Parts: sequence; structure tokens; C-alpha cells
Amino acid sequence: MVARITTVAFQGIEAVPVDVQVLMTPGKPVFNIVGLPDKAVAESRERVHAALHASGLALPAKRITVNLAPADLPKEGSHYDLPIALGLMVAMGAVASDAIAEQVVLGELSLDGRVTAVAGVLPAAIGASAMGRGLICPAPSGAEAAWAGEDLAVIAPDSLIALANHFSGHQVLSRPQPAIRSGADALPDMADIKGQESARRALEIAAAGGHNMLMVGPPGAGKSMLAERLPSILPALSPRELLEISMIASIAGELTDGKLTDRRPFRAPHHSASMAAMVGGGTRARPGEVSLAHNGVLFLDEFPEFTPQVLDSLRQPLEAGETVVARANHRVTYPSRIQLVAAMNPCRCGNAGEPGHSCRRGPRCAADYQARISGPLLDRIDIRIEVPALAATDLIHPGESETSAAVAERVTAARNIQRQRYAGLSKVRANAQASADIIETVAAPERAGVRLLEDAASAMQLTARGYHRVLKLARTLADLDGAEVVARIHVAEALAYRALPLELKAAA
Amino acid sequence: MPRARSREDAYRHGHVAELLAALLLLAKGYRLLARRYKTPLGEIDLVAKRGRLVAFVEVKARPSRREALESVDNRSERRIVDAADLWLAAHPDAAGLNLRYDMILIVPWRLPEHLPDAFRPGWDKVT
Repeated sequence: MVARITTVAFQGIEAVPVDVQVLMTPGKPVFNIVGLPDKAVAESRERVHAALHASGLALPAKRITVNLAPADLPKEGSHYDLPIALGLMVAMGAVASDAIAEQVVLGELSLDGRVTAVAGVLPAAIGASAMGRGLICPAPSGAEAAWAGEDLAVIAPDSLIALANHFSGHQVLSRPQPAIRSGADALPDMADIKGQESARRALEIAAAGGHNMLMVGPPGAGKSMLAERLPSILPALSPRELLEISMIASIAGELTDGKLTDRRPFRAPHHSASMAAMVGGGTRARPGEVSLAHNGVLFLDEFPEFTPQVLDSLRQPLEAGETVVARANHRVTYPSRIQLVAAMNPCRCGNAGEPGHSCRRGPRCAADYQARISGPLLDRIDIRIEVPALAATDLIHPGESETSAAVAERVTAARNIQRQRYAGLSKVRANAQASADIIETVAAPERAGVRLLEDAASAMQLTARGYHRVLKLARTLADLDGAEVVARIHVAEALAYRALPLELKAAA
Repeated sequence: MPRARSREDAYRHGHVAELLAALLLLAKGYRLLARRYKTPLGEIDLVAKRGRLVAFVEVKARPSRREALESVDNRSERRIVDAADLWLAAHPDAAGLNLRYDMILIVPWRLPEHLPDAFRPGWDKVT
């Protein structure tokens, strides 16, 4: 008789059902795992053997074959230990087969028979819920699984013995409770920023419409400081967004103690990041920084120092809101709707364009440095601002700075307008994500605005994408004002953010 | 039982040990299928059957239990397994039965000790 257990394999953030079949036949005592297991899965044999032994169960001297079906799907990761062990227990008659018939099982075993946490419990739970089955997962991940829905039956044992006792009715395990890690550690606040009024305004607009942003300025002007404060003014996560980012974090194994976080992600990868680290992939497909920043902020400091390939690999996620990783044996899609915030110096020495500064290498230095960012990528950045060095007086006699809470209030108001506007569209949540035809209808400017836009489009040689991005930005500005129609002043401000500052700097 | 010195002594000593082991198996309800089964690849001391189980038994006589336990290394395991394969080839009826590799330890002043399932050859092979 073949014992069957259902578990999952992960493709992107989808959980694909995998059937674990365990067969014990007479013959030479061998223990084989087949079905394209990777090293971690093949080694599970030793862990399963030891864990069963520690739980007081000896494997019979029979020919044991474990098949992971579908056999042509590569199996990766350590979460196959528990389903294999359960399958063996069913085959040995230690657990009744009907007890696990309607369950999806995943978990790693330690040598002493304890069930340890694995990555991807949340997507597995959602997958189990979609299949109409229950879930058996490690105790440390139970809180994570409980998020998948009230009607999902979750069993979260901390050891094989606890699971066996649960099935035999000796000690029934209760359903774990969903847990959330609330913002105990406070985010950096906008009130810390001295001066930089125009940058603050730009940051607020970027937050209000989900626009990409580029800050250019000399070292020490506060670009990183500004970017770090963007999460504090972003609107709160909707339950669906929370689930999306948690699924990715779960796959990447970044959820601690099975607790979800209600913070928007803020990812700041170092500029030495490889393409696999940025967009995901590798021999074991994992989500990259763009996906981990889904529904949040991807901050790239020292923008031109990233390798050109890495930067241009961001073009697809920025446009489509998802990343497709194609490899020889994988083709996976990760959601990556991000807000890109980049910061750079105007030239290598960092001070080009500063009053009184003259570079030894002349204007070529700045031009070469800025040319590292390709035109198509730059075209996707709506807000480009200059962050000048702070004057000493700003530090000594700082004016009153607004707190994040005050700014966030205006941002949330603008976002609420957008949410109502795009209520029927599942993929669009902010102006920046709206497609061209939608934005043309919702952001049609008044007549004076149209004229200005026409003039600017020819003078600035706007691309079709650039034209629509100006419209999106203008729409956000109107939303911040609470205006129904996009006025000339909104178009003008949007154009101003687009014009600055690269070409201007190159000429300096 | 002092440790056998000469080759002749060792041979006789081994015979006595095997006899004891065979008696133990018979007492446990096994039926002996072969004794001293010699093949080009190795030798099996005893092949015994009980119900649907065939046990290939290696008999080890040593001055202490520990020495007896340590006396089967990977190479001798390999020889026993290879010889068992050849025995199976000659007895196709046994292929559908459960197979097991046992040891019987013969130690002076102790009762013979039967270790069922002493090793599993296919187990530590890493795929």
C-alpha cells in the first residue's frame, strides 16, 4: 500500500501541490527519495531517520521508496522532512491514513524529533485554504499560518510526538492565533529634517502618488536622511497589501516568529548588489530586493554606482509591477510594485554645481557620471529634485519642521481620493500605477493646462511615457490640493519636477 | 575460552561459535537455509528463514563484546552483502521476502547474543 501525503513546492509565491508517496516493500533494506530532490531534500532521509528514531519509531528493514510527484518539478528546501516522516508513519501504521488525508503538511525536522520553522508557511497556508484542506506546519510558524483565514484548520505541533498524540487524541493541539509585530520601534520622523523645504514637498508628493523619485545633491545634504523618512509618511497598509508583502517575506524566510509586520518595507540594498540579489533568481529562485520592497520603498543610494545591468533590470518591475525570473529550470513571477527612491551626487567628487566650486576635471566629470544612468530608466522617474547642501544658518537657527504625522495626514487624504477613483481596478492603487488610458481620462487638465503641456512636450521632447508620467504627477498634485480637475498650476509643478536637474547640471 | 592462536585453532574456534549461533537461531524458531555459504565475493556464515523473513547472519567470536561489535567494518559488510546478492540470485524464491542482515556475538562466559538488523547496506549511501 502506498501512503500519500500532500505538501507544496513554491513557484514564485505560488504554492504548487506536491504528492509525497511512500512505499514499503519486501526486499533489500534501502531508503530512496526520488522525484528531482535537491541536496537539502535528499539529506532529509537522515533527518527523518533520526527524528523517527528519537520519537521511538524504528524504520522497518524493508525497501522504502519515497516519490515526490510530479516527478519533473524540482523540489527545493527543507520543508519536505515532515511530510516524508508522516508518510513513513502512515506506511508503518503509526498514524491512521484518514487523519492526514485532508491536510497539507510542511516542516523541517531536527535530529531530536522536533519540528522546526521553515520559509513559505503563509503561501502554503493560503494554498491549502484554496484547496479546501487543513495545514500542518511547525509550531514557530503557526501564527503565520493562522493569517490565511479563520476557516483554515491549522495544526502546529512542536514535535513528531506531539503530532502523533494529537492524532491519537491523547493531547489535542489548539489552533494557533495570528500574531502581528506592531511598530514598537518608532520610525525616523520628518521633524528631524532641518531646512530642505523643497525636498520635503517632493517627498510628500512622491508618497501621495507612489511616484518614483531621484534626489541629486552633494554629499551630506541629507538625501539618505530624507529617503529614510519616506515610510513614516506613507499610508497604512491595507489588509491585502499586508498579505502580499508577508507572502514574499515568508518565501524569503524573513518573517521572525511567524509574526507579520504592519510596516511598509523599506529596502536599501548596497550598490554592489548583483542582478540576482536585485530582481531575484539564482539557482534556487528567491525573491530579490525589488520584490522584498513590494508595496514599499526601494532606496538606491549612490544610484550611478550600481552596475548598469542591475539598474536596467529594474525597468521591467518599475513598469509592470512584477518581476519575471526565467532560468533554465525555473520561470517564476514575483510581485514587485515598488516606489523607487534614488539618490546620487551630481558628479564623482560630489560638488558639481555648488556655488564657488570648480572641478579639476571640468564639466565632463558630471556629464560622464550622470550618463551612467540610462535614458529609459530616467524616463521612469517622475520626480527629480536637487537637494542642495545645507547652509549653516539652517542648522543653527532651524525653523519649525512639520512632523511625519501631519504630513501623513495629507498623504492619506490624497490616497483616499485615489483609492475611490481606482476602486474598480484591482492592480491600481495610486496614480503612479494607473495605465495610460486611465490616466488620460482621470487627469485631463483644464484648457490652460493642456496648452502648457503641449508647449512643454515639444520643448522638453517628452516621450509618450514621459507625457503620461507628467499627467500622473499633475493628478497627484491636484489630489493633494483636493482639486477635482487638474489645473495649469499642477501641470506646471509636475513639469518642473521632471525638468530638473540632470541636463542643467551637465551644462554647469 | 582463550583466544585461539594458530590458524587451525581459529578455524575450530569459528566452527564452535557457528554451531552455538545456529543453535540459538533454531531455538528462536528460525530454519537454517545455508551454512558457510561461500562465493567468489565473500562468505555468509548463516542464512536463516523465519516466516517471510530471510536473515543473513554474520557470526563473530571475540574475547570481548566490544571487539566483536567492532569487527564488522564497511569492507566486511560489503562482502556479506555481495555474497547475499549471489545467494539471492541462486534462490529466486527468496526475492519477494523481507531481507535483513544480522549479527550473532559469541563472547566467553556470556550467552550468545543475536543482533537483528545489525546493519543496513543501502542506508548510508548518499544519492
